[in-house]
Amino acid sequence: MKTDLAQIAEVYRAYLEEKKPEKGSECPSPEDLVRVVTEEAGRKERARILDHVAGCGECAPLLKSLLRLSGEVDRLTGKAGLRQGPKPLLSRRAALWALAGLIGLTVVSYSVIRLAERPVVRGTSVIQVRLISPKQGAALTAGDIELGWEAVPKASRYTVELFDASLEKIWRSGSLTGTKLKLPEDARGIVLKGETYFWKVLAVLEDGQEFASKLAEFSVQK
Amino acid sequence: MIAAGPEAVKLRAVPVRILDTLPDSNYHGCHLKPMPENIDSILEALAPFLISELRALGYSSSSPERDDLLQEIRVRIWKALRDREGKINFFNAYVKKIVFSVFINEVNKLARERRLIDAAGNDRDVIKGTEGDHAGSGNTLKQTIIESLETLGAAKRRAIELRFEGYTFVEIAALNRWSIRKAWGVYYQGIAELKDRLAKGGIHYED
Repeated sequence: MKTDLAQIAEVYRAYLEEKKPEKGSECPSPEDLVRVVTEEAGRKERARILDHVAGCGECAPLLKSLLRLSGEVDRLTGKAGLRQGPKPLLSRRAALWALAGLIGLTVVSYSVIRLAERPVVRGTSVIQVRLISPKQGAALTAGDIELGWEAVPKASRYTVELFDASLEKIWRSGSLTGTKLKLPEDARGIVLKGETYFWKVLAVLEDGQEFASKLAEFSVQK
Repeated sequence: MIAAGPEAVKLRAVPVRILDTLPDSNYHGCHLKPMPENIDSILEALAPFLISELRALGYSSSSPERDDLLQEIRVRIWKALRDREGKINFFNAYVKKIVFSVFINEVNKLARERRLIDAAGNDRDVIKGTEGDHAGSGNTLKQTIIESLETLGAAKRRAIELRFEGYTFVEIAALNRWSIRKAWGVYYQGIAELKDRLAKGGIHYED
């Protein structure tokens, strides 16, 4: 049996529709959903509510509406500009992050020292798809965008995917056999001047296994 | 609560006129001046958005009028301004609180009405009639997909399910307090795991 993402999503939504009659006391109150949007809910409460929302065909659209409303109020009121009162030099969260960073740096330094002392083992079995060009964060004109990656041993084909700044997939190539791709006309028509985009490569091996590269970033010159 | 006194009397006597005004505390609390233009324009711009969100939730036939919602929000903001002598700190958060409150009131009201209609049997379940569509291989597919999803870690499952319900990565990130990149990563890792689990259940996933 074969399926794809669109069908899985459709099946899942139909499943939620069938579950609807169970909706009732187990649903968080709309006020609880507001608390998630306004970041008043604690970590555990938020996780509990979101776990419910993700599997509830009634709460999911309501929370999405609240999120959109929140965004609209932010946009209309110019959130940052209207905040009043002196800003602390370092917020509590930032201070915690700084402390965590310091601890992390110590752990990493220690690990690097320990790793340097270990004997080198060659021939790792992990397959990686490495992106070569454009360089991370490079700014190019749409016509100059040529994506390049390292060949993966035993790869039968590659696919390139392009994402916008909010990481929504905006374009996908067909199957490719080479390791370079000059951005074709249809993709060039999608990318906008001054915007940032992300891309990744999927390599499919002869035995059907798939490996994806990390995400890389470039921007289109104005 | 509205305070007793001449101002309260005026509120009851000419409510619509009062909506466009806020009290000037320099003159016995009775003199009224217009609500700041920027607040008014914000609310004017917000009202159609509120209506469209209510309609998106399926309240098309019995949605409240735009002006009703606008009036409700304006009354509450006006009261807040009056209580705080015309100054609201964290204006954004305050407007949001009021807008959410009005929105939820409407959602609850309309949901109650819908339940009453359902109970009266006038608007019976359409979904049950489609159950036959999921017979045979469809049922197996559904069962495998749901079981596979349930075996994923909580964060991955949540990201995937929210995506299936139309949430963007930006929204998933905001709700979970993740970066967009993390939301994206969690989702795609989840999809990769889902593929493996579906394959074990005899379902081949194609991009």
